[in-house]
Amino acid sequence: MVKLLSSDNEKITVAQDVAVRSMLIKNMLEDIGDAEDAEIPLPNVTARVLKKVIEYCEHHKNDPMPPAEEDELGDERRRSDDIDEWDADYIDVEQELLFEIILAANYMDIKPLLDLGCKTVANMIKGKTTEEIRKTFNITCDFTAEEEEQIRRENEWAEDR
Amino acid sequence: MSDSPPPTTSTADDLLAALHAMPPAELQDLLLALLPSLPPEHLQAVTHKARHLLLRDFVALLPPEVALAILARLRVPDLVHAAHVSHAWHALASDHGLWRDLYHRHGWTAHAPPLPPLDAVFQPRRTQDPLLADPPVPRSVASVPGTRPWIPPPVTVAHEDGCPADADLDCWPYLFQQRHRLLRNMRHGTPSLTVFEGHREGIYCIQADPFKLISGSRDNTVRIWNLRSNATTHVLEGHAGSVLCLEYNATHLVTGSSDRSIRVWSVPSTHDDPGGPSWEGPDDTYRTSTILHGHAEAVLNLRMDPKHHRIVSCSKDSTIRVWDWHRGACIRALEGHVAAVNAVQMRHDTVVSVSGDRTVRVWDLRDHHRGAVHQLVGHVRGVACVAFDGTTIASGSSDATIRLWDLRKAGGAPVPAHAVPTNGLPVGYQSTVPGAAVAQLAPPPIAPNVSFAADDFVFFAVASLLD
Repeated sequence: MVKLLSSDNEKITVAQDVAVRSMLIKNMLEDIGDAEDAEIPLPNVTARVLKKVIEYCEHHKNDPMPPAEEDELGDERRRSDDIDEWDADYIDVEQELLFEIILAANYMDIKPLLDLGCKTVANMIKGKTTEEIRKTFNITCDFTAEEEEQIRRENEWAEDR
Repeated sequence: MSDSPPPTTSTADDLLAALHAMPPAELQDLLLALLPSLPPEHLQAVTHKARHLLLRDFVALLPPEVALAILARLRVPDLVHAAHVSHAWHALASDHGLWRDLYHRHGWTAHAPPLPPLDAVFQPRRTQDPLLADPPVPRSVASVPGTRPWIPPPVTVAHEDGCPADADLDCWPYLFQQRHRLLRNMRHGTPSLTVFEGHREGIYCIQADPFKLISGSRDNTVRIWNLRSNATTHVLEGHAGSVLCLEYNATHLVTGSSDRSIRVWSVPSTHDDPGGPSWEGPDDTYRTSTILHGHAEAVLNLRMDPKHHRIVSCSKDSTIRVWDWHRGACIRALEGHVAAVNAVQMRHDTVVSVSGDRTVRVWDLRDHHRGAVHQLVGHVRGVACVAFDGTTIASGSSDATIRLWDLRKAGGAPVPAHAVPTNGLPVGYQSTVPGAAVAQLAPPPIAPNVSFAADDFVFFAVASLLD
C-alpha cells in the first residue's frame, strides 16, 4: 500500500498497482525504495480531486502502461471520438472539476487521464462558432474592434467560399 | 440575488461578512435550506450563476503545453474559430508546432521548397557564375490568386540533398494556408480566369512565377508575359519549329523544339522587378546564348541542372541527351528506349525517363557505360509524363493510370506501389488532341506534367489557348 498526502492534509492509502499509474508516484517510490511508512506528499492536489483521480487509476490499473516518452501525438491519441463508456461517464463532470483533474493528471503524470481530459475539452470546442466557444467557457472577448477585424482577415483563408 | 428591498447597507455588509466567515460546508447547508424558499425564476438565476462559476477557460488557464495538447486535437475550422476567441486563445492557436503537425497530418511534406524561392527572385545575383546562383523556380508551384502581396519570410534553404530540414521552417501557419488555398482552388475552381492572347497557334508548354509567365507555342515562338499587365513583353523568335518544352530559372531559359534543337536564352536581370528603373532599359532582352544540336527528331522535354550546368533532354528519336551548357556540347546520349521518350526528370545524377515504349527507365549519370539502371515495366500503353522526388516516381500513362514506383525498393525490378486510376482525380487538363482516347493523358507531343502532392495527384497541364 502507498500513503498519499493531499494538499489539504488528508491521508489517502491506495494499492501500489493503482498508485503507480502516476509516473510521479512511481518514480518517487523507486527513489525512496522500500520505506514502508513513507508518505508521498502531493502539494498540488486536493483530497477531493485526488480521490477522483484514484478512481480512474483503480479502474485502469490493469491497462498496459503507456510508452514512457511520447512527444508526438499519434493518430491514436489524437482521435477524440474513441472515449469508452466508463471513461465518458467518469469524465462527465463540471468544468471546474474537469479542470482540476487535467491539472492533477498533468502534475501526477498520468498520460491516459491527461489525454482523456484534453479530448473532452477538445470535444467541447469542436464544431462551435467563436461565440459559442466563448459562451461554453464563459470567456469575455478581449479584442478591440480593430484587432477583431485583423483576426477576421487573418482567418479569411479558411472560410468556405 | 438583490431582488427584495435590501436591508440597510451596513446590515447587509455585516451579514455577508458573517456568511463569508462560515465554513464552506455550513454555508452550503444554509444555502440549500434557503433555496426552496426562492420563486422558480430566481432559482433559475441562481442556478445560472452557479453554473457560470463552475466554467473554466481551459485554454487560457492550463499550462501552455496542456492547452496545446487540447488544440492539437482540433481540425482546421475549429482551430480558426478558437483563434478568434481571445488574445490568449489566439496566441496558442497560432503556435507553429501546432500548424506543423497539422501540415504533416494532412500528409503534406516539405521535401522540395514548398514555395517559389522568392528571395532568389528579389535578390541580385550573388555569385559571378549565374548558373550557380539560384535554384530554378519550381514549375509545379502556381501563384495563388489573392495572396501575392503577402511576401513570406525566407522559407527554406535546400540542403545538400535538396531536402530542407523541417526544423528550419518557421512559417508553418503560412505554409499550411498556402497549401490549403491551392488545394481548394484546384478542387472548387475558385481561381479567376485570365486569358493571354497573342500566340497564333496552340501552346505546348508554360512556366510561371509571381511576375511572369513564359509560354512556348506551335507558332515557333516563345512569349514572355507580364503577370501584372497580362501583356506580352517579349516574343522570342529563333526556333524553326514548334516550341515543345521549356524551363527557366532566374538567369536562363531553355527551350526545346520540333526543329530538333535546344536553345539556351539569357534571362534579363531586370525582368523580375518590373517596377525597377531599367524595366524598359536596353538590357531587357532575352538573347540566345547557345544552340544545342544533336537530337535527330523533336525535343519533347528537358530539365535544367544549373548547379552542374547540365541540361538533360529527351526526344522523339528515342534517346536522352545530356548537354554541357557552358561548352554547348552533348556529353552523353542515353540509349535504350525503343520509342519516343516523352518526358524526363532529373535529380542529382539520377535521370528518370518515360517513353511510348511503355517503360519507365532510371539512369545513373555517374555510370558512364551502362544503360538504364532500372527498367520499370507495368504500364500497358505509352507513358506520357513523370514526376520524381528522389525516391518515388509517379508516371502517367495513356493506359489511364498513374503508377507510383518506389526506388528504394528497387532491388531488381521495382514493384509499382500503386496504380491509381485517373478517373475522379482533380485533373485540370483538357486534351487538345482530337480523338485522344484518354483525355487526361494525351499522347505526345502534348505531355502534361504529373506533379507531386502527397495526398493528391495534381496535373499542371498545358491547354491550348486556341481551343
